[in-house]
Amino acid sequence: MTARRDTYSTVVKWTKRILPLFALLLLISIFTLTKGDALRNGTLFVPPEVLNLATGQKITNPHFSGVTDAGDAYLVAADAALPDAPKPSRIDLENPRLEINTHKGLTLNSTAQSGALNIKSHSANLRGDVILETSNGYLAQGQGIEFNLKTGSATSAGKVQVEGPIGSITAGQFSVFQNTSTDARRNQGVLKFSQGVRLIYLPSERKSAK
Amino acid sequence: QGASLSLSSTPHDASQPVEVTADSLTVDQASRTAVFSGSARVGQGAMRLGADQIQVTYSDTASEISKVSATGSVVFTNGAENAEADRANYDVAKGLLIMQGNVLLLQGGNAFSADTLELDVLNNSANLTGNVKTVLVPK
Repeated sequence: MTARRDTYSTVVKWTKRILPLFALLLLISIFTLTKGDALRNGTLFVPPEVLNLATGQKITNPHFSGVTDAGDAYLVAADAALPDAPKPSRIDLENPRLEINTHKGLTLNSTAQSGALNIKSHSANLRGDVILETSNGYLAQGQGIEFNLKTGSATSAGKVQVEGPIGSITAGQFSVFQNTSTDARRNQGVLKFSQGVRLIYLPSERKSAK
Repeated sequence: QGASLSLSSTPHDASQPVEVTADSLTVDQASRTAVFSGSARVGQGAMRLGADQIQVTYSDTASEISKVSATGSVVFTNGAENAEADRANYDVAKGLLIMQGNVLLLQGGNAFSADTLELDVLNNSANLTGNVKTVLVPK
């Protein structure tokens, strides 16, 4: 009889454990980095020498940095930057790197083969072996991602894979956006994994992973 | 009238990996819900839950799940018993899986149909209520 009694008590344990995996999802939501409004007036610091360059003049080792309203410090750097005009509306980046230190003390590092910053349209993208690592053990990989800095949203170009201490997610596409219809005080981030989602959760890792 | 019965199945190892697949997953933090939609399947060991959509609501600390609801051709099995229904709600705190609408429970050679099936997870028992019919499957 006892074997049967244990069986179902494990369902309680199972459901209690299985779904803190959504903590994994919440961690991924940090990709939304900051609230929409913070991004809209985030300081995108473009060094003066970039602004008065002849078209096609390559700048080596450029770096842009700033702090968003939410207090997350960011640094964008690259091997080279290629503005499209003296007053550039677009800057292409070779081997761009992005580092973010959130005010909660989490570090994110992202690298890609190429990228572009569209100052007029407030958008940016990363292309080619896009990798994002977080200091608490999460690794996200994909072939590309588009950022809309105005709305604080991002969409992957194709498949994404995210692995972390307590599990992993793969999906045909990933996007994150700010649901501005909910009131601003609450976290408005919405994550969408689509075109086939597979999520693995390792309950046994749950205890050890913090 | 209702029928209650105790259930049997192989002991379940809750530390095994859990796999969830679906067409899409949307996590909305404001409402603290995660919705798997499009042939959603959750599995761990012999336990399987499948439905058109599985919605999970989690607590504000986001570390515990408060409710799981499945809608649209819901199927549940623990390897020994199988149950089907239009929808199911799982109240984690009370350990109650409530399946409703055209419920069919298959246990060994017997099949039971009812309006509602309440699986009491802690006491390993099930209660069928509303138009309960037993369908003895001829051996």
